[in-house]
Amino acid sequence: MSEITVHAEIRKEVGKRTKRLRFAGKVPGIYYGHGQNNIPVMLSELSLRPLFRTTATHVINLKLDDGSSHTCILRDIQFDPVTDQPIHFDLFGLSANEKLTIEVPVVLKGTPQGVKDGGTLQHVIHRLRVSCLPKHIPDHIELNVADLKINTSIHVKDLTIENVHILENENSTVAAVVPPTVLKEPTPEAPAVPEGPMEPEVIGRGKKVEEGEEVEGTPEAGKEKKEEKKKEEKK
Amino acid sequence: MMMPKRVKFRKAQRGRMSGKATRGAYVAFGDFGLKALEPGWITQRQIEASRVALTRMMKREGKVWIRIFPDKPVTKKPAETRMGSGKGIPEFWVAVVKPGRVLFELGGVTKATAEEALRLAGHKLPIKTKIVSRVDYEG
Repeated sequence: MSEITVHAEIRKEVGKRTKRLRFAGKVPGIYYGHGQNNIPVMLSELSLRPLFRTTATHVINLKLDDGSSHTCILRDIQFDPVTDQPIHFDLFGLSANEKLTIEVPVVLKGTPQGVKDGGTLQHVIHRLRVSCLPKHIPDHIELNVADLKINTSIHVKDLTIENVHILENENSTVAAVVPPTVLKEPTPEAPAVPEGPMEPEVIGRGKKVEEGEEVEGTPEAGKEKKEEKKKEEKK
Repeated sequence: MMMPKRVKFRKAQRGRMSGKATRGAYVAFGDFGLKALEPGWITQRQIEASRVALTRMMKREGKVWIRIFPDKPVTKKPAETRMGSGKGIPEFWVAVVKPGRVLFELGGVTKATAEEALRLAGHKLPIKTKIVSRVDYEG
């Protein structure tokens, strides 16, 4: 667990007014904790970047402009879907004796034996949800994958970290080496694009038609007959 | 080519593509991705062309994730037909894409290979795109 000191300002702008902060290069955020009051804060984007562009978990020593300091973690961060700029972040205040849930990055080390043999390494879970005391928060979970052969994998149940409880499903795969993919080239006899019907099955339609046929042709045919009868009666 | 196996309705209205993507807007499975910067319809043929470009460039290495699916039917009237007499027949399928949507993802390849593969795939699409990486990717 690495510590990082961040100087933040308390902000008064809330709601839609935070848009102005973003134009000025600031990112609005919120500090909260169990039994503590919420504090709206803001940070410059440059000082926020080391907190999320990393594969390490930081315990943040937050220093506010009113002189107070808080120990917290980055719990959540939201990004603009188009520009990928951070638009809001959540800081969660820690209390020494209270367990917390946190997502810890998983880092793979070494080149697997299976990759040397032509397989492909698949990193399935990039972040593991764990529960622990603040003093036991791991920096990251390092996995040695050098011994992984083709068609072998590492599951959550294979991981043991002291003083940390993993909350993921124990049968989930963390990393695996799979055989190389074989590209299927279209044979000259078979057409590259299947010339079958482009229309898929319509749910519910086929059933109705079948039922109608069993009794008396299609439902549409039945309607037509009724209309003809009516016309004859009118005549 | 990608298309639904079963549908509730054969034909669909065109709809609108306002706003940004709210789902599927970040790289979730691989290390790199191709993000849409404009709204548009991506046809099943364009998705297939991009996929072929990606896999050819990667040469059996790594893994490709396709994050969009063409589930909207587009109808067309036959050539030299007078207007009226109902909607045309379904011709092809499209995926409706809004700005910010991650279209493809790659994993298990080097940054240089991924960038070149995604650049080639982006040229097969009718919209502007950009190459993005996972939030905590340390290249």
